[in-house]
Amino acid sequence: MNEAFSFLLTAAFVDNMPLTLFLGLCTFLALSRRTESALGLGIAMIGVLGVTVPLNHLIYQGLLAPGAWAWAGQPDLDLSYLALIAFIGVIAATVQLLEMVLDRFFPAIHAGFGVFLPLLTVQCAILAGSLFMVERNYTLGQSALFGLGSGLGFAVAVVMLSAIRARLSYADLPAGLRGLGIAFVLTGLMSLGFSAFSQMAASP
Amino acid sequence: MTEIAITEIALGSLTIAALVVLLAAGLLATRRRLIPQGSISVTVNDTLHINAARGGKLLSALH
Repeated sequence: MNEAFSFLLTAAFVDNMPLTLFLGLCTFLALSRRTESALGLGIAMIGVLGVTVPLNHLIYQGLLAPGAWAWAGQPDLDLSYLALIAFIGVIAATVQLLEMVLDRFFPAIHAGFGVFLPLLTVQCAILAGSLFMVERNYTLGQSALFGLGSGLGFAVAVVMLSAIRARLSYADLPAGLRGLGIAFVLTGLMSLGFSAFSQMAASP
Repeated sequence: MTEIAITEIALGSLTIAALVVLLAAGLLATRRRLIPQGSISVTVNDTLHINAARGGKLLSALH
């Protein structure tokens, strides 16, 4: 139990997608202007990553991994070259599903997302979650925890950035730094702060 | 081309096709369940009555 919690926290903070690995920065910067939309994006990331990483694990281990077809008398078969296209298909379907659920039950959040919800299909942080799962040989349980943890880490980071940007909207910034300029500076500073977590994980 | 390569290509194509069909079928089933079907009636100034499909744009329904 303790190990699982530690794994979840490591995925959320040490391997933080936008601030440690610099993945998914397009939506991270674009949807952090308002806290409501940042929270919506965070919840969507938790949902999509939490579903796609374990689902892709099942598909990879059951159909695509080397030796997955040993039960059919094909132990040498290796379909892992199809992993990328299969993962993108699963992610696209999950995002479509999420869009329909949001449209039906939470129309305000759906309207707030605008064009960014379909763009989650090609969000690199979501695909990276599945690719890391393959690269690091996670089990199904670890994949589920990693997906949820990565989504949680993204949600925390984007809500934090939106809160700082909301606070800075009253600040008298130089003209060149207003808008996206200060967002980049803030992301860099937050990234330095998050690098402290990797030191925490390195300690015995 | 070796036998294993031919099997790999054939089985790979079948796997991806089956996966895409399965995902599309799941999405269509969910859409049927979540998105209401049928048409709606739009009344303009109590004079003009238009039947339009759900989910469409008002502008295209009025056109």
